[in-house]
Amino acid sequence: MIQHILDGLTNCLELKNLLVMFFAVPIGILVGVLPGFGATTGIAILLPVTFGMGLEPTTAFLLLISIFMAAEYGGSLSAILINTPGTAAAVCTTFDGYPMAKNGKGLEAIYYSLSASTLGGFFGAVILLFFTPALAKFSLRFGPAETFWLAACGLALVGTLSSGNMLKGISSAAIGILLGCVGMDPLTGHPRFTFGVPELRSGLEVMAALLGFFAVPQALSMLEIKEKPIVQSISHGFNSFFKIFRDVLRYPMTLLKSAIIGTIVGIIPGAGASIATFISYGEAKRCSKNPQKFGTGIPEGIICSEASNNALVGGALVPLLAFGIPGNAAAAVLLGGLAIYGLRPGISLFTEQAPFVYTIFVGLFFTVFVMLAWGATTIRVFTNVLKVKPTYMVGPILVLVLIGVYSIRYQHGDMYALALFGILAFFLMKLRFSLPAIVLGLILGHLVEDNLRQAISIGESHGNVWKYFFSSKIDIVLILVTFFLISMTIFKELNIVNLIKKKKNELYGG
Amino acid sequence: MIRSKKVFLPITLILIFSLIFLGGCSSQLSKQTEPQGPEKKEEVKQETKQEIKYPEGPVTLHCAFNPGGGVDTMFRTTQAFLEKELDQPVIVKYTSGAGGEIGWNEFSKAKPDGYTITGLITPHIILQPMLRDTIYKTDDFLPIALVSFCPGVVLVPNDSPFKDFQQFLDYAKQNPGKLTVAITGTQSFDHVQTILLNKNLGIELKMVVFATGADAVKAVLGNHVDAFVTNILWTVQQKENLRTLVVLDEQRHQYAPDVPTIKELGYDIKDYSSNVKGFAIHKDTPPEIVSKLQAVFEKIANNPEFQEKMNEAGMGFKYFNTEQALEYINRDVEIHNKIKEDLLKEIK
Repeated sequence: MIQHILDGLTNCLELKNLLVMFFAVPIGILVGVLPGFGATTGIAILLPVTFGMGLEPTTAFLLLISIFMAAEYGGSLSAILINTPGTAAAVCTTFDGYPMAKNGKGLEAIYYSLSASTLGGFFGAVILLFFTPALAKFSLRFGPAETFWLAACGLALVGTLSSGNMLKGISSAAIGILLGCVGMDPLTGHPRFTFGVPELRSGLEVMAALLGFFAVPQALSMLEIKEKPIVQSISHGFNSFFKIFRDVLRYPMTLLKSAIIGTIVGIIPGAGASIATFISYGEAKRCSKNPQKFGTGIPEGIICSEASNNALVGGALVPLLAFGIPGNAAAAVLLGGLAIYGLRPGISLFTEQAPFVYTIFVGLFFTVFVMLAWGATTIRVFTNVLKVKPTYMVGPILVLVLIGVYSIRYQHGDMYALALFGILAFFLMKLRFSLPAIVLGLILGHLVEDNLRQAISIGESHGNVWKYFFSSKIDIVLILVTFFLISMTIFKELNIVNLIKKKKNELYGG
Repeated sequence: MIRSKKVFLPITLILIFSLIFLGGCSSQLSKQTEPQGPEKKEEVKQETKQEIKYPEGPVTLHCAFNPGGGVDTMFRTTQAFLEKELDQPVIVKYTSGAGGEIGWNEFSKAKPDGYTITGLITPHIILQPMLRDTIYKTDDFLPIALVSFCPGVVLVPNDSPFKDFQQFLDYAKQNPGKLTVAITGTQSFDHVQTILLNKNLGIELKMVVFATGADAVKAVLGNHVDAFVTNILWTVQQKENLRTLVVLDEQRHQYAPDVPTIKELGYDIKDYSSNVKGFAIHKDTPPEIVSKLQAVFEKIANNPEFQEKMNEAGMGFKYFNTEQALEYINRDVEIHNKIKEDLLKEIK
């Protein structure tokens, strides 16, 4: 294996491969930054280009994974600067990234994101390099029942996302789940909530909802800001970057936990990147000494979310290369790419095509560092956004978002959906509903329903539906975690309610 | 408290925004139905007077699915060959949604001038108009050439106790409702195959529906379900992990030359249908253009380089000309009509 790794290293150091990675990373950052475009779109657009350029499979794949990795970081830039997640996995970065930017620490926030992305990506690459065969077997143990419990565990995070206002948090998640029900029933094919509109049959586009919920209300509330934004408090340059990089290392537990969560969720096919960041964020908040500070713009909030979404890149490649099962949408496009280049994923790929596989593995480390270099040098370009008066940002944001939404599946309907979601979200925000909880419900609702119904079908054939849901060790662990999360939430909530009552008594009852 | 002044501005903006937006969309829609080649209006006038020159501008391959899917792969493989033959740029355009329905609705309304060639795929173009109220109809398509032919297969994991189809069948007969099979989507190819298996062989396979093929493979590999009923494409993709028990067709397929067909095993296969893909234009296209395109596609389909590329891309190359394609599709419509009720039934 050492020999393979060294061969991979030599391949990566070839000039053309280095050049490809060097130029692919900024493209990746850019597709990540643009709301609606993400790793998936970037890879889908560039795949035929690599084919047209007549690149060798290895070089082509180095290009594509560079895009994948860099887009996950790029998504955090728009999350921080304009409160709009550039990719679905950057939703949680908005929670603390944008408040930080609003407090005049935008540059610092991006440095935090870059550092955490780098470390997370590095972790995922290490796991991929050394543990792929073992982890590949583990990923298969997640059947419908296990995935159902994982998603349920994710839904239990509503509590952490909306503490202090549980009722609104739960109703927000319910709205999200309801929106997720639109489309064809997965088992019967009957249209649900489609009102006879054929475009609605394939369901609401998650990205349209996401941008509607974050970008549009954000753009609208920018109109309410009169004063100029606060200018950055620290200077550009490598010195301040290294200072922050060291600062990030002061949160080793948050980093490690988020990276592990990111990698594991990446390995589980079908779970998706956003659930990884939600779980990491919830977990970081739960373990923190001052959970109430989360959401006000603290570095930890950015670190956990970014470390996990970049760690996921390595994880997503595990089932892809070992079984040809993509862990998420971007990996699915990569799978199509493998097929076009005549490479069949499977354990034998690791022996038959060892140079290819190990070059990709080692290449992942390179992309992490190229991303770091580009990220640190181009930050200036992006932070200029902060100097613009918010009112002037409204137009460009809305235009970008509209184009982004249309580019996902070329449907006009998605643009109407975006506008509707945006208006809905603006009022929900004013009414203090939790937008993240709605998004959580929308994303996880599907996962819960599909897997629940699959598990019921399988359970019936075994003769006992209930037993099937509790039949494996993973089931039991996930159930315990879910109950732990729920009871913690209830416990904390009661404390908060008591506190509020006490204060009221002090004030009025006296 | 929210001050009324602060709310007023955004609301006005929302209204303006949505108005502009609505206007923008409608004009975009109307633009799309306009002819796509250059100087199309003049061409229409000339139609009656003189010979039609085709193609005079870029030709669009219209994909009713997302990039990266089967139809897109077929288009990307054909694109270069078609450009060479037509001596015009060939563009791939995507309008996806509702399993192809959105795109084909649009296609059925487009001008029948031969500049829009759509990708057709069965059973989608048969089942959608049969089971729901679609704007397009199955006979709106005039198939120019079918180039991909993938029969159904039954796949089990390598470590499955079922070594051959007979063992699988015996177990299924003895344990009705106990054997689970993964299928991708409802009213889909996999669904049709399983219904046909159940009906023709008198067994009761329990269907578990997955959203994508990858999800289904994952469940089969992890032994969460017993088998995967799908098309032969997955035999190729999962050669290492899954064993193909049977090919649901009359003839062996180039992708699984060692796997027996259901006919060889002694079962009547009249009623099995396969997953075919190809190129179609609108049925009202002028005959000169139709015959030009037929000739072009015949030439491409007979090119060994094209055939090899299609097979490599997992398309399962097999060529049907218009006549053969229509015959195949009509037979397929009959088969699907017979199981219409079963397809509408809820999977339990």
